[in-house]
Amino acid sequence: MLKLGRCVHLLARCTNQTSSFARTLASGGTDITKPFRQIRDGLSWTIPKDLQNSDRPPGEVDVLIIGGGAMGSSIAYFLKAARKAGVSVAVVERDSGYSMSSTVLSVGSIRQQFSTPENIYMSMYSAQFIKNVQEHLQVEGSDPPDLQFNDQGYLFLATKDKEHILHENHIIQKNCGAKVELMTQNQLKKRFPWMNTDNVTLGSYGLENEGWLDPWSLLKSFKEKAIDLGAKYYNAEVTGFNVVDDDAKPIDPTQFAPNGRRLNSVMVSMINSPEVVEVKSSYVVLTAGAWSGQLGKLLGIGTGPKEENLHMPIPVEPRKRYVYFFHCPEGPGLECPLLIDPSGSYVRREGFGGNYLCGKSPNECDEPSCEDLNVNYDFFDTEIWPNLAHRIPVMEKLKVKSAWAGYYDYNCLDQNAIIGSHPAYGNFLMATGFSGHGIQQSPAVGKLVSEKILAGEFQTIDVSKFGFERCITETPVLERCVI
Amino acid sequence: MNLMMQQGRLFVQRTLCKTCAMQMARRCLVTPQTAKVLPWRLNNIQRGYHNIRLETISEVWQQFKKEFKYLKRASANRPLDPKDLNLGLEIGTAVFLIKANARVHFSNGRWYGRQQKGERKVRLPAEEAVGYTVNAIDASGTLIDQNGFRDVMKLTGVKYLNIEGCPHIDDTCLAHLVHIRDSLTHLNINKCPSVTENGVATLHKLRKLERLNMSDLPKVRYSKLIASMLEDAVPRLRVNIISNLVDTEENRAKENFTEEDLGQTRTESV
Repeated sequence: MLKLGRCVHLLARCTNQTSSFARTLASGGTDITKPFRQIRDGLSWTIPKDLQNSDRPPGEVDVLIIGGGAMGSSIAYFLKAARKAGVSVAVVERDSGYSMSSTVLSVGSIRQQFSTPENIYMSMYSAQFIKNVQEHLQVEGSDPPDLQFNDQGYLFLATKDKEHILHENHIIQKNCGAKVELMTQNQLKKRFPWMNTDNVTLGSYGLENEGWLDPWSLLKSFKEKAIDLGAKYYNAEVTGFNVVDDDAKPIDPTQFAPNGRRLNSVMVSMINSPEVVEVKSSYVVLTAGAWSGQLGKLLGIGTGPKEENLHMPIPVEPRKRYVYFFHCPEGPGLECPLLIDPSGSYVRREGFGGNYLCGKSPNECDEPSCEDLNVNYDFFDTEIWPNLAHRIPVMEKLKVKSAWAGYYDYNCLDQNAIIGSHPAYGNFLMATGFSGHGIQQSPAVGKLVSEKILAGEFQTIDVSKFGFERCITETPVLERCVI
Repeated sequence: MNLMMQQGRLFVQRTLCKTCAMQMARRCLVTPQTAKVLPWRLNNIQRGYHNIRLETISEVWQQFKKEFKYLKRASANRPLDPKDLNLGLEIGTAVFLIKANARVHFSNGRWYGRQQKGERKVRLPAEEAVGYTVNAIDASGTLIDQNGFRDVMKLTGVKYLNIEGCPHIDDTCLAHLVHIRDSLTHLNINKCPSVTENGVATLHKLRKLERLNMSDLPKVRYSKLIASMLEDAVPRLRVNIISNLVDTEENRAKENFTEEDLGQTRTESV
């Protein structure tokens, strides 16, 4: 039963609403339900707009995700999609325009041709997710997401001395269920007549679930669906961590069991403001991409004692990679896959007007500096164009239209992902170090990390091989590739 | 006892599907047998998201209609019934297609499925069709989507495929066609509203394709350009396109190329 004062207050608000209701009726307004909704909103308890400061993160949150790129947004989406768990999610992203994020600057390709089964399974799960994206990521009331997924396939070429690697990888991929076929030199010549197959003896062609997509739409769809399901994005930067080690007990560091020390709260500083908010969270997930190594140092990972497994830093650092967009009028048509040359350069078709994208990973010794994202066009002239012209003779005549550069979150140990919790902190999870194949694994990683948080273990795919423990023991899990 | 209970549960699940119990139906559509085989199929459909903002009767009715449409689509794409697979993969898949309102032609020369257009009487393949392969599938106007299509693609030897006017056939289904690339010669994808140009561009993998009908695809831009690029890529292919666009200046600009650029056009336009 309502008290008298509140009754009077509500009546006053009602009369305010009903007068507008009367006005709408009188003028023959079209939206007849709007006044009913106004009355209903006036009768309910809502925090007034000026007190509801949604720019500042709350004091407590269940899961705090550092970095709002494809990985962070995917984890936020999967955590919120498990509705019964009822987890509150906050994503902290310091670059609201995503100007330097690896996600939006990537070429956006997906392949199953790895040599580690976990990588293959993750890509297969992600391909399934991307094919069903309308079911998963459609927000009610707006257009269905369109990822422009081109299912064209990858073509790895191998010379005589690296042929056996391709054969062995092919057996592993077939066992995992990937749809890949091997092609001999004659088959390659017949199928792709524009290609020069001089020293190439074997090719591995992906038939299904391989190709390229638009990474910006993927990020946008994940983010919008996560926000629709209740995740909150904050434009802020993480500048510190608070650790609680009341229950910490001395343990054997080689066992990698958590010793009771936990992250208590995260210091989040707002952009362009001296304000710093302390956010208490049960779990903290680090998906900061190329800057994960720096953030790890804030926690003491890399500068701590060896007995607590804090002596190894997170081995992720930014590496700059160039992508060039050129036009070749007589280039290969629809059947052009993402061609990977034995020299390391790759090229793929973009659109239907004779435009192509290409790039190459430079050698270890001449890595470009990562201070800015300026493009070095000499790299194309000296390293990529000769290989392209040798492999595809019609590409001797081409014109570079534009180029851009982006960062790889490069894992210095073995260029594979780091997924899992840190041995020293029980509630600090990482999903970083993808070294160029992050987009294709982002849905799978989102699902796995959400399972790790909600159920305590990986259920869909067992990726314990990619845990942080291998960084401490320095046992790399290398991909055997042909390049 | 356990088996009886399992079968009883399956029976109840299937009847409830048919009688529109929407919530139970969603969970029942994956039977225990198929859940082990394909762990990522149909399980992933996140339909537990109820729209709690139902304020008026009209919105409730809209929601009901949407759910019913989804249910019809899901019931047309259920996993194959293991009973039908007893007679072989070909007959099992053929029964699945017939239940989804398609017609199937076996290599013994007979058409199975609905006999006359709109009639309810169907002819199912029985023991006389054992040992023969499926030659042609006429699935025009059905509600097959990528889940059901994946089962259909396990058939080898399908030469003629007609998926004209299917609302749920999209780019992923066209990418699935790669499994029958060795036998498919005639393909009809007229009027499929969900197909875009990226899907049509994957048809170059069908090396034996001889005829392709791709008129009236509303989401495919530059359809004539893609058709001529496909004819370059695939030997022996001839594409039939009937475009709704009248040949005017503005429509030519929309198509983004002119007749002179291509030289002699090899598409038959009417």
